[in-house]
Amino acid sequence: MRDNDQYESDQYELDPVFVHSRREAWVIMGIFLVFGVYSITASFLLGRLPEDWNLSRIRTMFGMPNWVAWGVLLPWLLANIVTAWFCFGFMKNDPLDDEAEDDNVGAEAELKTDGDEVQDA
Amino acid sequence: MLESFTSLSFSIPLAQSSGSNAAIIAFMGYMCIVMFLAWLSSRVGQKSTFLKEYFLGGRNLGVWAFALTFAATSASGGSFIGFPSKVYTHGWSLALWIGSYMLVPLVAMGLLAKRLNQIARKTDAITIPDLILERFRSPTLGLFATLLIVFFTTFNLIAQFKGGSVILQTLLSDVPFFQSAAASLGGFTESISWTASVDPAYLLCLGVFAFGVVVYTTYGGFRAVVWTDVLQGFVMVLGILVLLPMTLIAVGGLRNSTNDLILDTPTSLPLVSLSTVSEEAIDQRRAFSKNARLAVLFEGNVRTFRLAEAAKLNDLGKLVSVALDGDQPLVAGSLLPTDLGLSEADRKLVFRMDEMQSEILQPEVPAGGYVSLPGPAWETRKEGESEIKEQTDFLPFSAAISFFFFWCLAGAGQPSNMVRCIAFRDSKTLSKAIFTVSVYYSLIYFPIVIIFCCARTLLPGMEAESDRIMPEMASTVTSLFGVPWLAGLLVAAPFAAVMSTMDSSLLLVSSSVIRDIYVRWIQPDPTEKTTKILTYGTTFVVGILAMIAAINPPQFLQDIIVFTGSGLATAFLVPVTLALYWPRFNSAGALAGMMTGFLSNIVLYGVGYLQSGKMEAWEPLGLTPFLFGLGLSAIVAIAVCLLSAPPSEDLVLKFFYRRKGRKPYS
Repeated sequence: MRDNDQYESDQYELDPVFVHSRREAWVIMGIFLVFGVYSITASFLLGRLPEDWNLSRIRTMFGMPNWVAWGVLLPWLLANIVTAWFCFGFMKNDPLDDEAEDDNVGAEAELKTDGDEVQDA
Repeated sequence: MLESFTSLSFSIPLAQSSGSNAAIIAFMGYMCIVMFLAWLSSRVGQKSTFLKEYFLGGRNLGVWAFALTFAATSASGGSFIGFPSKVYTHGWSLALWIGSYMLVPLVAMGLLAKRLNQIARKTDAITIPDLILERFRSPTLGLFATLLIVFFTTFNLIAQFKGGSVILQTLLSDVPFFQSAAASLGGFTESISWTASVDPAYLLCLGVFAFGVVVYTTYGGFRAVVWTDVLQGFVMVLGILVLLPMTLIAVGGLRNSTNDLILDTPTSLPLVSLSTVSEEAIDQRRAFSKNARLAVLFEGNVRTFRLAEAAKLNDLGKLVSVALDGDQPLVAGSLLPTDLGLSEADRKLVFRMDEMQSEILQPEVPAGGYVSLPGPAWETRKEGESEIKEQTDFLPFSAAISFFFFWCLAGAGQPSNMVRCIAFRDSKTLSKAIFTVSVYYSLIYFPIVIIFCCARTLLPGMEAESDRIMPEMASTVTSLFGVPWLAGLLVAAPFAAVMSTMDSSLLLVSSSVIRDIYVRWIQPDPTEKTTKILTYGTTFVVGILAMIAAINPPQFLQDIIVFTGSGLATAFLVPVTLALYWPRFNSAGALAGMMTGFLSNIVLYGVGYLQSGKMEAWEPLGLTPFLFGLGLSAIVAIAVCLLSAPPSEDLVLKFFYRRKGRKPYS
């Protein structure tokens, strides 16, 4: 398995849209996992019924069960803040349309490259 | 208790008929606006080629159009009928069940959208199979992707048609005009063997609803779908934002409602015999309709129950073997009258229980289940000839994990969502749209949990017909505030949700047939006129065929919707993600990943069907088949890719590199 930058040369470099998108995808998966672990863990730690079924021990916060406030509402509000940061502070404003010359990059390279070399790689 | 119960001087009539009138007005008004938008949309945007315009809206969606078409397509009828019903039935545990919607916009749009859009522009792709074909330069892979989409989406389309019609039927069932129209239709359809056994009311709803959606989608194409989605998106959020404060005021605050819910006991439907306490009332009321509310002396207290089926008093003033729904302590200390839903005559007529023919099952958790995890649920199992109801967990730990992954990743893997990701204008539009949808979902899903947890206080005893809880709440709450006309806006939300999903599925199938099969394989260079005729014709015919199939649809419709959603995501998510982010990924790996995802879903559902006789998936370790399918698809796709030849250099350069020395990005 070759590295992603296998074709980097004097002539070509990794497409910045690809590089930025890949970095953004990793950050999104990280955010998703952190929020998922927190939300499920907090909800189940706080949300199970007391073992003695003593209902007076069920706590509420903002009028909803305690576990909903800590395990769902709080991360939901934080998720909106993190999403705002991601969209307006982290995500790159990449141009998505190629210029005309770029459309021919693949075709040109095909003419210049030996096909066997690719197969052997 | 009885005194305070009977001394109340006002009550609220059952909301059914006013709600249904609001529903029919809302539906008709809504269809008119949608048709107008479809006509308007066909008048603009003729600059690009017909196919790109018809199936992609010219690849020029702005923030609001992109955000709301994405949000509205994801929110189906389930969001406004099934989800409220689940909240009502299982309580606050639904907050965690739906919790990962906090990140659905970020994951489902942010993960793939920018690269999908860029590659679609490079290749001039209009559909997802188009894009896959060009990325791997493999017609076989493109055709396989097309067939998968057509297979799953057609099933889904039939289910959505049936679902939409059932919703409409539920909402209109008490309108006299609708009843007489259905009766007239029944006189005609019962003479046809194919439709003789089908409820004419359902047929009428199917005909009107499906025909309306097929016509505006056919006429307006993608742009009409997007415009109507925007309208539908606004209607949905407006409906919830109006309903939330009204509900909270009606129950005397969220704390008050939650405190009631803590004491609420999950029960099953008991079969009982009742006799009247008050002799004078016997002659006045001999028949009770389905859903009629009864005041019943139960364990020393008067409680509100609802009749699950219509019943008549016998000569001795008894109701024999009636199914009662709900066992709610009466609510005090709120704006509510404690005898909500009981008319003057109802309040004079108090019953006592003579005999309990089926036991009120003692739940494992006597109270508190609605406010805690894993939440209460009932499961029916057969023992000999009798059916036994047992209490079970609604959301165990493994299911919570499954759903957290499912909503986010399955959303990212739907081709109907992916195709929207190749239609937005630029990166700025994408980032603004992700944030917009994030706020939008926050304003819809968490408030729905609050509203329908409060509904247990406001409208107790609707377990047997919890699917009606949305329109019932709309008409009850608006009646309480003296604005019954507002119910029309609130019940328009489910229509909007169903329509926005149906039109997108319809367009997805027709685009696959025209672009990915006809243009690719039969006639590569058709004239504009031929393309137009075929496109309009295909969209219309596919819609009509799905409508006909929905006349006698297969059983287990909700399960089919889950099956198709899960099947599409397991087949597409891994191959498309790797295609966008791994230069070494090749067509062999993509085909293997796609087939593995597809087959694993089929196999897990097949085993589940053999085990239970129902369309249920086998869930090893309690995890959804979606997670297994996704994992297997990833392993097989990567393994097969590494064992086969890498892609040609020109493909890698085209999609992952650029020539040096280009001006830096702004």
